[in-house]
Amino acid sequence: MTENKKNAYMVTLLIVSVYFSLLENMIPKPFPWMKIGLANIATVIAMNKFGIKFGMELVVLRIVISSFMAGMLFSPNFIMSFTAGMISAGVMAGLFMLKEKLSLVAISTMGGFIHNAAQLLAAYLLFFRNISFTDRGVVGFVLIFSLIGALSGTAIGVLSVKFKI
Amino acid sequence: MNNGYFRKSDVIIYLLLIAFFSGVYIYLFAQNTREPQKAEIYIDGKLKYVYSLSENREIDIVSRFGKEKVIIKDKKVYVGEADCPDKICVKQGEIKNSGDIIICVPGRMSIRLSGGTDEIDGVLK
Repeated sequence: MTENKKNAYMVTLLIVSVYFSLLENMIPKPFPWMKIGLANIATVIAMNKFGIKFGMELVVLRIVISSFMAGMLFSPNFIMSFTAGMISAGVMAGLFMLKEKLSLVAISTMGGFIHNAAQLLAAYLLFFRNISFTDRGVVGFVLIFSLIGALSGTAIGVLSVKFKI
Repeated sequence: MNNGYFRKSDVIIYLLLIAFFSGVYIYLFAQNTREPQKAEIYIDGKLKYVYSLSENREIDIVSRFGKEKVIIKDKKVYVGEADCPDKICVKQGEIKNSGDIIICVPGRMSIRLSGGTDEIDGVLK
């Protein structure tokens, strides 16, 4: 791939991830931070194709740009998605170092799971410190929410492999 | 570079996830459901009001984060109106088991049902 073509590819990935982020805000869902993680597909592709560093840059840029466009820059929502995005990208980066041994699907599944788990943790630390972790409602919510994250991660992993993008 | 769909070491990751989910699931159903006695209302992380569930009432909550109308009816609690943009707390509907919660993120308000006799009684303000 020539340098120009590579740059064009990277910009396209960024645009696609911002677009998915914004699209996700429009999907009606029962809870505000219940994300499907569409934008994660660009992160997985970026890390797989251009390396960990570019993947991390993409996550930061995507979150800042999409929050800016949605008018939510530096709001609590932004802090939550930023923390979660960085933690899950960090974990995925760590797993990508072992990519001789792990499949893309497994890395993406873990990334999706960590993303939603980190988001719950951020929400807990920011707003609901007093709620005890032992409540049934809280535990049920954690279960469903992180399960959705893991499943969407799997779907995204399968898509990334299938299209070989 | 294409990692394919499956590698041997993937099993470790899937086992970790399965262990997490089954652990949480078992925990969830190992607890017995109790009849709740009171509704605790938290604003900005602090316990503000405690109401008994034995009588029906409507509570208007006004804080600097927003306004909500909490309704207690037939031992069930729900949010009738809220001035937050997403109205998620309203859409969530009724809660009726001990430990159930309703959370309103923009209003920094949460309602938790609790039961048992070892907890504080009365109204805190």
